[in-house]
Amino acid sequence: MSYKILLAEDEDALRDILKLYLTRDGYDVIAVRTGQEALEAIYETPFDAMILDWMMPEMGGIELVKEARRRGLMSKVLMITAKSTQEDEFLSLSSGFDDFLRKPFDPKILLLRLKKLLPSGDALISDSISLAIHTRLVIVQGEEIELTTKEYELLAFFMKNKGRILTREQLISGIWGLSFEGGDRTVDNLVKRLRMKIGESSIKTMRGMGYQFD
Amino acid sequence: MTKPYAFKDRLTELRGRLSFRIWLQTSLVLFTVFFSLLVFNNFMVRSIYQNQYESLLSKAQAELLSELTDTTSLSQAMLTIEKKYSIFAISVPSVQSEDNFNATLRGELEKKHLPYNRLWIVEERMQAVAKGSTSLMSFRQDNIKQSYKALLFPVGGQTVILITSVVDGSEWLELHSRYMPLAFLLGFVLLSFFLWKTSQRISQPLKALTHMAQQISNNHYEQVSLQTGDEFEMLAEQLNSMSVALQNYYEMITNQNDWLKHTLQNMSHEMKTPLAVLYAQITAYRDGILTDVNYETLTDSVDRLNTLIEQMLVLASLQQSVYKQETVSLSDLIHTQVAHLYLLFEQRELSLTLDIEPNCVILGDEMKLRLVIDNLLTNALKYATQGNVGIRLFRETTSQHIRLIISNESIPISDEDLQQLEQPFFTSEKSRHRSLSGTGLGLSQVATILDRHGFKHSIGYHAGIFEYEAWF
Repeated sequence: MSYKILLAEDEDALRDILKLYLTRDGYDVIAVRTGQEALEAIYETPFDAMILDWMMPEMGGIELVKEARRRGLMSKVLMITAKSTQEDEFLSLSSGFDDFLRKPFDPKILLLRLKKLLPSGDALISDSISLAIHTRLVIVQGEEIELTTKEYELLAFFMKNKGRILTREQLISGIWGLSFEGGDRTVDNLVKRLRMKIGESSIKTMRGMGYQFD
Repeated sequence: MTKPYAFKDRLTELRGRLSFRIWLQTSLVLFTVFFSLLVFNNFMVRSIYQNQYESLLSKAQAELLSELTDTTSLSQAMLTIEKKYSIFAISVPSVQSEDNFNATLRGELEKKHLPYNRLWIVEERMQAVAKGSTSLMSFRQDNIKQSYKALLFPVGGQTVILITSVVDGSEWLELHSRYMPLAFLLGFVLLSFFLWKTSQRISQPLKALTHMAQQISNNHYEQVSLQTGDEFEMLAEQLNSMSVALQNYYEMITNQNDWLKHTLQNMSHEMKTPLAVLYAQITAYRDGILTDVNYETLTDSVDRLNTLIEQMLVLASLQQSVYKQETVSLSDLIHTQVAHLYLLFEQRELSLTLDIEPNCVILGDEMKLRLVIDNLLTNALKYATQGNVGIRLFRETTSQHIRLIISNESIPISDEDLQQLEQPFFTSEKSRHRSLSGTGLGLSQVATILDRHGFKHSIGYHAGIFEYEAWF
């Protein structure tokens, strides 16, 4: 499975070129033109990372990220902008963006920055569990186990955010997308099934807060 | 432990204050005057007092001697000076025994009804005077607090005695010397206190003015109110008007700086967007991402950059160039421009409502006013969301100004955005629409031209309608 990337940029030529670069590097890219389209896309699908332009029609990048973060979105977000002052950079990094790239830029730099934001390598490895991203192979204590798509995505999400306490809201936005209306029980049941397959001890329940993978 | 230091600091602070210096210097002068008066009273008044009588007698003597001529007898001369100097003059033959001399003297005194029985001239004094010297003596009468001075000198065979009474001031002087220091001390304290108050009154306005100057240097343009009715009040008034002028100047400079800063920032932002596209395209060819060269998108970016620079140059020239003063018919100008753009309005399915009063003629630069109308109409064409675009031109009945109103339906515009619309390159984030928007310089050009002509203008948004108004 490859990383899912959302690209939002209102300049058609730039958007097309960046999409070509990202696709060539094996990313699964959805490209949109406006802030509104970007918001609709993140409601539909969880993305591993998003590349957003600051100035977009209908809704700017800052507004978009604030809104998405408020709803529990945890994806990495990279801002590309023609704004160039330090105040602009400060504002974007303090508004929930993970990185900031000034226009004009070499698309190769963008690819490197993006790579640094995403979990490195093809595999996610914890004490007793290893997960190969491209082949979806999961090995627990030396033995290969079978996981459903959602179980796999939940485990991958936990491993990407190892050590962090994740709320049910964050788990929903990371696995089903922001528009999911299944409720907390669905999350709890999925965690329960995953625990049965990989062992009870790796996922801790933090009362009143959520779950933590260790 | 800290007290002596605090006192020392307080002293240093005081020494730097004008009121303190005035008080200290005047107090020192006062003290010196009082002290000198005391010394004078105690040591000098008595002798000066005595000298005064002695010199009176000496003067009388000199005048008597000068009065004596062949025709004027001694007794006549004595009468003259008695009257003139309010003294008594008596003459007694010089050569006789002490007793006889004094008996004669007593007889002469009795003639003048002078009861000076304590006046007794001893032998030695008689002899000395008889030999030609002048002798001065003092004597007292019993029961009368008065003393006398007598000057004895020879004139021919006679001894002349000039007598004056001396007012005895010794008791008064003693009293004076005793209470003078106390009176002086009290006077000094009182005067010093009033001096302190007065010097503070003088320095109070200075303090207020100093505070004001400090505030001005920190860019707080305050006003100071002084009702002293003197030069300080005049100075305060001058400073107040200076403060206002400085504030206006400061605001003007700040506004210009802000304008320039925003313009530069926005301009670099606007230039970077086509540059970013160009750069990405070039790197895409370099990296083999794109293989077929698309000249159209390449030249599009270059065109955008070029237009941007040209429009910026237009704005700069509008700010600097000389404006002509010619008669321009705004009515005709609007009709001509509408005719140029009519097809484009039709293409966007926008209806035009024209309400143009004929013969609205003004003085101005026709070329530039044409640009104003063109930009405003193009703006309406770009940003009208739907429906109707209204153009009204009429002469106001009250002010006789010609008024132009261009209105169109618009997406909501916040008050904050509204204020910035005339800033170069400002395009509301929400209204960004590449296919429509131009360089973002249209309304700044309009504002510059109207400002240079001295015409008022305003932008408004109310209930879905955007309105541009200008008064010519």
